[in-house]
Amino acid sequence: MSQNEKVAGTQMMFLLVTTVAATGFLFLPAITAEVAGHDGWMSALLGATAFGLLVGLVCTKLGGYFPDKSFVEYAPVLVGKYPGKLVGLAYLLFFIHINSIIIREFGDFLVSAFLPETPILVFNIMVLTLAAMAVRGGIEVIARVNQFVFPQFFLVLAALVFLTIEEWEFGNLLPLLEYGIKPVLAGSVTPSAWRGEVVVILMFLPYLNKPAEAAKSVAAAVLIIAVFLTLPILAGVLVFGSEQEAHFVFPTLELARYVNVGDFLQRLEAIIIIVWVAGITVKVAVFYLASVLSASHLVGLSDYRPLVYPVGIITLVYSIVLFDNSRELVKFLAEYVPYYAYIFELGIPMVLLVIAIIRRKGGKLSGQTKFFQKDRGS
Amino acid sequence: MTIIVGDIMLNQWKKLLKKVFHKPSNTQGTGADRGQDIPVSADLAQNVACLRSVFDRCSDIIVREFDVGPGISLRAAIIYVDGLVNKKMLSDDLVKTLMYEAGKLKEKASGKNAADFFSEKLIAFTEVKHQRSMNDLVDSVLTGETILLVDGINSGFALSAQDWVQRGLQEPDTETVVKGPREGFNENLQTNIMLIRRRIKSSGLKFETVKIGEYTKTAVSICYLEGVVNPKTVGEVKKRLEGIKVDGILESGYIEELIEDAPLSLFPTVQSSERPDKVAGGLLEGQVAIMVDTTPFMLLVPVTFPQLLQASEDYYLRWPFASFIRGIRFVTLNIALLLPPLYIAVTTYHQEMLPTPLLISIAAAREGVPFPAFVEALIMETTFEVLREAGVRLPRNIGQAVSIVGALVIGQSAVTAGLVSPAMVIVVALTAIASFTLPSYSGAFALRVLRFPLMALAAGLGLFGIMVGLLAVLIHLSSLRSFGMSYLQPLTPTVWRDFKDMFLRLPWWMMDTRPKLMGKMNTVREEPGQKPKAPKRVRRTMK
Amino acid sequence: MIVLLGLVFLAIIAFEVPGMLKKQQWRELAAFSVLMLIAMALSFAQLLGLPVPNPTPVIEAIFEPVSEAVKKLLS
Repeated sequence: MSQNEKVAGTQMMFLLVTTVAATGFLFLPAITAEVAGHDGWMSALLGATAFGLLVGLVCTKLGGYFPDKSFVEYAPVLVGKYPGKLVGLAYLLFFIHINSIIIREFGDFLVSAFLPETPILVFNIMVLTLAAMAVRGGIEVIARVNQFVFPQFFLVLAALVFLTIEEWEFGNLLPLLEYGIKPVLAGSVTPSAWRGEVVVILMFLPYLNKPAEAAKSVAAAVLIIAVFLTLPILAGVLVFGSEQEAHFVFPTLELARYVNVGDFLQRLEAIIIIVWVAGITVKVAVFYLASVLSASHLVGLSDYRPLVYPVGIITLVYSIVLFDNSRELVKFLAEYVPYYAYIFELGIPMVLLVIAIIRRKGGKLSGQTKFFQKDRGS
Repeated sequence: MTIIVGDIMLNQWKKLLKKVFHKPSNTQGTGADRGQDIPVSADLAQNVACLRSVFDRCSDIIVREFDVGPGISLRAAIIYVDGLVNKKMLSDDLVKTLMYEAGKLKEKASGKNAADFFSEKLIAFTEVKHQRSMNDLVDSVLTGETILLVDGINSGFALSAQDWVQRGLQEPDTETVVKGPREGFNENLQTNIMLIRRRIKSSGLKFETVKIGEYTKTAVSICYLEGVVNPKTVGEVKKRLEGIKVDGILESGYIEELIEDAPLSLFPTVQSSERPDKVAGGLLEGQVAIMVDTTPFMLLVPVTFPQLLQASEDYYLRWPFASFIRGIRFVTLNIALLLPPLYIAVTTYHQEMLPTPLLISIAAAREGVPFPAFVEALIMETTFEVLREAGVRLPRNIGQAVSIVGALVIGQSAVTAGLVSPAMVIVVALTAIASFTLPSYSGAFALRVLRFPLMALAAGLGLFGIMVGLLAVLIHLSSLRSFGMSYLQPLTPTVWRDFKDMFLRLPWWMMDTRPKLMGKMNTVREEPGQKPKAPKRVRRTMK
Repeated sequence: MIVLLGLVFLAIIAFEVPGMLKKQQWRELAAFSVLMLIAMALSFAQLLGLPVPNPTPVIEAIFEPVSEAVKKLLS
C-alpha cells in the first residue's frame, strides 16, 4: 500500500542532505580538527565526498536491478532465502543502532548546550514522538516536512558562516598539508562514515517517482553535503584555529555565539539550535522509517504502521543504554563507528552488487521480470 | 507462542469489537415517516382521506376541496403548507380559473388524456409535475409545492408556487470587504443558486441537488464548473454526500463534519464562505461548492492551507496593495500563533537574546507581578477569549458595554493592581488583533486553540518546546489532505507556477494558469499578453 | 514510573491492535507482538536497573584492532 507513495528526485536529494548534515554539523568539526588539524576541511571535502559518491553509486546501481523492491526485500533473491533474511536482519539492527546513536547525539547536545537541568530522556522522547508522527505519515510526509526544514537549515548555515566573516584569520589555514597527506586521510575516516549514511537510500529507492534519476539525486546530495559539512569546519578553523577547535565539544555552537549583527542581534545560538532540532527530527524520522520498513519487509508485511511504536521504544531504550556519557559517545563516533559503518554502507552492498552482476551475466537472472515473479521471498 | 497468545487475544478482542462496533440492524435509517408507497388513485375522496391521515394534526397543512366549474360537476382539491406558498397567486391563477373558467372551454376532458388536458389548458403555472405516488405527493407538499388533485385523474399535479419570507441580501458579517460586491448569501437555496448563476453565465455551471436528512430533507446542491473542475473531485464529493445518513441537516457545518478528510484535526479541510463572489472565484479555480439550503454558509472543497489566507478582496484591490496585504497576513499569522509563546520562552529561558535596555524595561515592568510569565499569559489569554465569546453571545447593544468593561478591566485595572505586566497586555492585544486579520474564521480558530499548547511547551522547554510544537503542527499539516489535494500545496509538493497567488498576488494579466490539480482539466486561464499598454501618442507635426 | 510505562504500552496496544484485527492482518499482528514484547522487556529492564544487552563494548572489542591499525598506518 505504501508503495503508492512517491517522492520526487529533488525531494529525495534534500532529504538526504538534511539526513547527513543535521548531526554532521555538530560533531564533525571537533573530530576532524583533532585528527587532521587545520587541514580538516580537506578531509571533509575530498576524502569523504569520494566515499559518499562511491556508496551512492553502488546503492543506486544495486537498486536499479530491482526498481520495485527495497534492499531487505531483494537480498533473499540475490543470496538465497536464509542468508538474505540474515542480511535484512543485520540491516534492521544497524538502522536501529544508528538511530539510537543519533537520538543520543541529539539529547546530549541539547542537555549540554541548552537546557542542562532537563533529563536527556525528555528530549529523546520528544524527538522520537515527532519522528513517529512523521513516520506514520510515510515518506511523503517526511519529504514535505523537510521541504520546510531544509531552507531554514540552509539559512542557518549561511548565517553561521557569513556573519562570522569579520573574525576570519586566513593564517589559521596555513601551511597547507603541513604534515603531509596522512592526517588528511585519517581525518576523513569519520566524515566518510557520515557521508555513507546516504546508504538509507537502499530502503527508499522504490519510492522514487523516477527511478532512473536516483543516481543523479544521490550524487547531487553528496556534493551538497560536501559544501554543508566543509563550510562549518572551515569557518571554525578560520575563527578559532584548529587547536582550540579540537577542544570544543561542539565548535559550531561556539561559532554561533560569535554571531553579532549590528550590536542588537546577539547571541543567536538559541535560534540556531532550534533549527537544528528541526533538521535532526527529520534525520531521526528518516532512519526510523528505514528501520521500520526493514522490519516490515523482512517478514513481508503489507503495512508497516503497526511496527512504528514498538521499534520506537526499542530505539529509545538503546538511545539511553548505549553510552554512559558524552565523551564516550564522541570517542565511539570517532574511533569505532566508521569501520563498523563501512561494512554496512559499502561492504555488504558492494558484495551484493558483485553477486547481482555475476548472476546477471551468467544468465541465471536474465531479465528484471524474473525478479518480480519471485514474490517477497517467504 | 505468539500465535497462541494472538488467538486468545483475538477472541477477547472480537467480543469487545462486537460491543464497540455494534451496528443497529435496521438499515432503514433513522426511521422517518416512510410508509408503504401507494399510487395515487383516481378517486379524489380516497386520495384526500389518505393525505389527511398522513398530515393528521399538522395544522399548517391546508386542504381545500372545491368544484371545477361552471357547468360541470368535477371535484378537485388543493393541498399546500400555509406560509410556504403565494396565496394570492393560487387563488387568482388556479382556484379562480378552475372554478369560473374551466367549464367554458369548448373541448372537454375525457378519460385518459384528462391529465394532459388539465396541465396544458387549465393550470397557468410555469412548473407542473405529475406525481403518481402518494409519497412523492407528500414530499412535494412538504417542500412548499402546491398539490392539485382532480377527481378521476390518477395523478397529482405539483405546482410550484413557493413563496416564503426570507432575509434580504445583506453584506456578510464574517467576510467584510472595503472594495467589492456587498451582497452575501441568504438562507434560501434558490436565491443562492441565483447569485452564483448571475456571476457565471455558462452552461458548464452545474447544480446537482440531493436531499439529505431523514426528517429535514434539506436540499443540498453540488455545484461545479464542468470543464474546469477535476471530475474525480466531483465524484468524491457525491460519494461522501451519499454516505451521510442522519436525521437532520440544519447548517452546512453538519455536512462539513460528515465529509471532511481529517475529522480529528484542528485545521479545516473544508472551506466555508457566505460570499457569492468568493464561491464563484473558487468555482473558476476548479473547486466544488456544496450549497446547503437554510444557511448562508456554503462549503468549498478541496481547500489548501494557503487558500485559507486568501481573502476575496485580494483580487479586487490593485495588485501591489493586495500583495502587501498578503505579506501582512503572513506576518500576523505568525504573531497570532507565536507571539505569546515566544514572549514566555524569551522572558523565562532566553533573556540573553534581548538587547539589554529592552530586557531591563521588561524586567522593571514585570517587577511586582506575582505570577510566572506562563500563568500571566494564560490569565490574559483566557480573559480575552471569555470577553470575545461574551461579545458574540450578548445582544449587540450590551456587547458594547462588555468591550468597554473588558478594555478598562484588562487594560487599566489589572496593570494598576499589579496582576499583569503592561508588556503582557501589549502581547495579548497584538495577538488578538493579529488573529482578526485572518480571512478564514475556522482557520483562525485553529491558531487560537494551538496557541495554548504552544504556550505550555514554551513554559516548559523554552524555544526548544516551541520548535517541538511547531514541528508537530508541520508534520500534521504535511500529512493532511483535502479531497485528494495535499493541504500545503503549492508549498509542498512544490508547484512553482502557483506561487503567483501565494505570498504575492500578481496582477491579473500574469495569472495565466489556474491552480494545479484543482483545475486539472483546463489550466489556461487567459490569453497571454494581456498586459495593458497606453496607446502610442500620435505626434503632431507642426506645419 | 513503572505504572506510567505500563499505561503507555497499554495505550499503544489499544491503539494498534483493533485496526489490525479489523483488517485481519495476522502477520502484522504477529510481528507487532514480537517487537512489542522485546520493547517491553528492554524498557522494563532498563527502568528496573536490570542489565540490558549493550552492543557498544562488543563493537568496540571487534573494531579496536582495525582502529589501531588505521591510526598507526596514517600517523
